[in-house]
Amino acid sequence: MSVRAENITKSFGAARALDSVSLDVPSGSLVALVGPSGSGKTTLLRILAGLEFADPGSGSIRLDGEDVAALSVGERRVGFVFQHYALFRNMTVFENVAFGLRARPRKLRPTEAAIRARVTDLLERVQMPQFAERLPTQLSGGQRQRVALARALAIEPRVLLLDEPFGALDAQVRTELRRWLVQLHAELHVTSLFVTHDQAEALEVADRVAVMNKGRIEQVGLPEEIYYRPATEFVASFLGEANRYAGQQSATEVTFGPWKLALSEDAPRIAGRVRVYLRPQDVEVEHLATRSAGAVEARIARLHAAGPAVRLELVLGDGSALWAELSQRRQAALALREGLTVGVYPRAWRTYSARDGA
Amino acid sequence: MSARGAHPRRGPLEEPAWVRFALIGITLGFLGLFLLLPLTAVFFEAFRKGPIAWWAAVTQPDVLSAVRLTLVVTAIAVPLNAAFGLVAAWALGKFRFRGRLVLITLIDLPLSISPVISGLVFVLIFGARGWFGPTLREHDIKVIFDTPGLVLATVFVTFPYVARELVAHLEEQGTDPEQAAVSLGASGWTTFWRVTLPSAKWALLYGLVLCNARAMGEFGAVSVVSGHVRGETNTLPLEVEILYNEYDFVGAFAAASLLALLAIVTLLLKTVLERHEARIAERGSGTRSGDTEISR
Repeated sequence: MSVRAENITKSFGAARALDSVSLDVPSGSLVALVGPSGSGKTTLLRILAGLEFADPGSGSIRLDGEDVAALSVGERRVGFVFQHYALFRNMTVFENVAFGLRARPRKLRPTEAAIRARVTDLLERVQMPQFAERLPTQLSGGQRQRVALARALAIEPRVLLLDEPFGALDAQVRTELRRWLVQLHAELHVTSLFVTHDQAEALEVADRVAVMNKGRIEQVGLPEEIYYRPATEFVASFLGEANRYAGQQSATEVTFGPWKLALSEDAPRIAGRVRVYLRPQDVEVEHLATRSAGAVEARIARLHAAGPAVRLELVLGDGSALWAELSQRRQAALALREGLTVGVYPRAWRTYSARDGA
Repeated sequence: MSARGAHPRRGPLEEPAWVRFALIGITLGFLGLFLLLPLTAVFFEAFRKGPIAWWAAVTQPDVLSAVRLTLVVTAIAVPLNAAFGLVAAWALGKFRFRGRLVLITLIDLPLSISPVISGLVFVLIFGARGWFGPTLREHDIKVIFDTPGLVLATVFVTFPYVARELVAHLEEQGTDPEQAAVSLGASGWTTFWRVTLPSAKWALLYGLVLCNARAMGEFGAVSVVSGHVRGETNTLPLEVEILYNEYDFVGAFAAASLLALLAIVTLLLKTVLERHEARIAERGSGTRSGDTEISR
C-alpha cells in the first residue's frame, strides 16, 4: 500500500507548520522522516494518520491511490505508534492488542477464537507471548513499545506510522529495538513511515530518508545519497558534523581555509562566495615527510583514540581548528600522537552557494 | 563504620528522631483535637442516656423523615453531579477552546461563595416573589420550601467535586490513549467507555465520595431554601439544629451521630472498593505465569 501526500500545508495561527509538502512512500518501503524539532515532521505524520487536518483546500492524501481526505482516522486503517506508547493502562497486554479487533462493529468483528489466534500470533512476533496477562505498568519501556506496535499491527493497517517510536528509550534498548524493527519490516513488508530527530537512526533503519526543515522537505533519497550528496546546506549540516568554511569558487577551483583546490568533474558549478562543508572523515592526514602536494601543516592538539574511529583536534598554521577522523587501522599505521605536526588536505567536500542562505 | 558509630545511620531523607517524633506528635495531636475528639463527643453525647434513649431519638418520625429526605436529595444530586462532572471534565480536560480557563474558574465558584448566598440566589430566582415565582405558581409547581429547591441548592453547592477531580486527572493523562483508540477504529462511544472512563475511575470515585459527603452534610444553602417544616422539608443537618435549639441534646446528637455514621459508611465503601480493585489487579499479574503455559 503506497502513501502519497501532495502539497500539504498546515498553519497553526500565523505559524506555518507545513509549507506545501509532498511525499511519496512506495508500497512496502520503510521511510524515515527526519528533521530537528519544530520542522513539521510529526505534524505531517499526524495529518497522514487523520489525527490532524491540513489547511482546507491544500493538497491531497492518497492511500493506494484512494483519496482519504474525507475519511476519519478510524476509517483510514492506519497503524499509529506513539512516542510514549499510549497503551491502555487498565487493560492487559493481550486486551491492548485485541482492542482494535474488539472495537469493530459486530458484523466485521472476528470470532473470539480468531481474535485469540491473531493476538497470540502478534505477541509471538513481537517476542512478548509470556507477557500477555501483564498490565502495561509492569513492563519496561522497550516492552511497552513492542506491545504498542503489536496493537497497531492487529488491525492489519494499510500503512504503519511511527512517531519517534524509540524517542523515550535509553540508548541500548533503542539500538536493539531499531534492528528489530528493520527485521520485523523485512518479514511483514507493511508500508511504514517513521518520524525521528536522530539522523543516525534514520540512516540506519530506513530504505529511504526524507529530511525536513522549517515545514519543507529538503531532500528525499536513499540513505547513502542523503549522506554523501546532501542537496542543501541544511541537509549537510544536519547529517553529521562538518568543518565549515566560507570560501570562494571559480569555474575551475575553490579556495577555503588554507587550501586552493581544483574542482572535480561533478562539483556543483557555482561561482562566487560559497560555504564549504568538510566532514572530519574526509580530511586526509599524512606524515610531514611523505605528504602530498596540496597538504598544509597542522599540529595535533588532542587525540581521542577511544571509540570506533580516532578523532583528531588539529590546529592549522593560522590558528584555526580542524576536526579530522581516521580509522583505527590507519592510526595503527601512522602512529600519530598529540603534539605531532602532520600534513592535512581535504579528500572530499561539499560547496553551497553563500547567497541561498540557511 | 564502627569508628563513626556515634552517629546513627539514617537515610538521606530521614530526619533526626526528635524531629520525627515532633512531626508525628503534632499530626496525631491535631487529628485528635480536631477530628477524633469532636467525633467521639458526638457519639458520647448521643449515647449519654443509653442506647434505648438513642434509639428512641433516632426513630422519632421527624428524624426519620429528615433521614429519608437527606437520602432522597443526595440520591438525586450525586448522580446529577456525576453526569455533569463527566461531561464538563471531558470538555475541559480534552479540548482547548477560548474561555476554557474562565470555565475552570467558574466550576470552582460554589466552593468560594458562602452557601447561604447560594441558597438566597435560588430563592431570588424560584421564590414566590422571584423571577420565575409567578410562572411556577400558575403551573402549581413548588420549588422553594420543597424538595426540588433542596435538590437545586445541593446540586449547586456540590457540583465542583466530581468535575475538578476529573479535570485534573484528564489533564494529567493527556489524549494519547484516546487517539490510539480512535486510530484503531474505535467509535467515540467505545473509546469513552473502554478507555477514558476506566482510567478515570479512581478520580471519579474520589470525587463522588467528596460530593456525597458534602451533599449529605450541606447546611447553609439548604437552610435558606428549606423553610424548616419539620417532617417535610427538613434535612438531617437542619433537624440537628432544630433539636439542639430546643435543648433536646440527646436528640440533636443522636441525629448528628446518624450523619457521622453515613459519612463513615461512605468512606468504608470507598476503602472496600479500592481493596477489591487492588486485589483484582494483583490476581491479574499473579496468574500470568500459569496463563503463559496455556497460551503456548
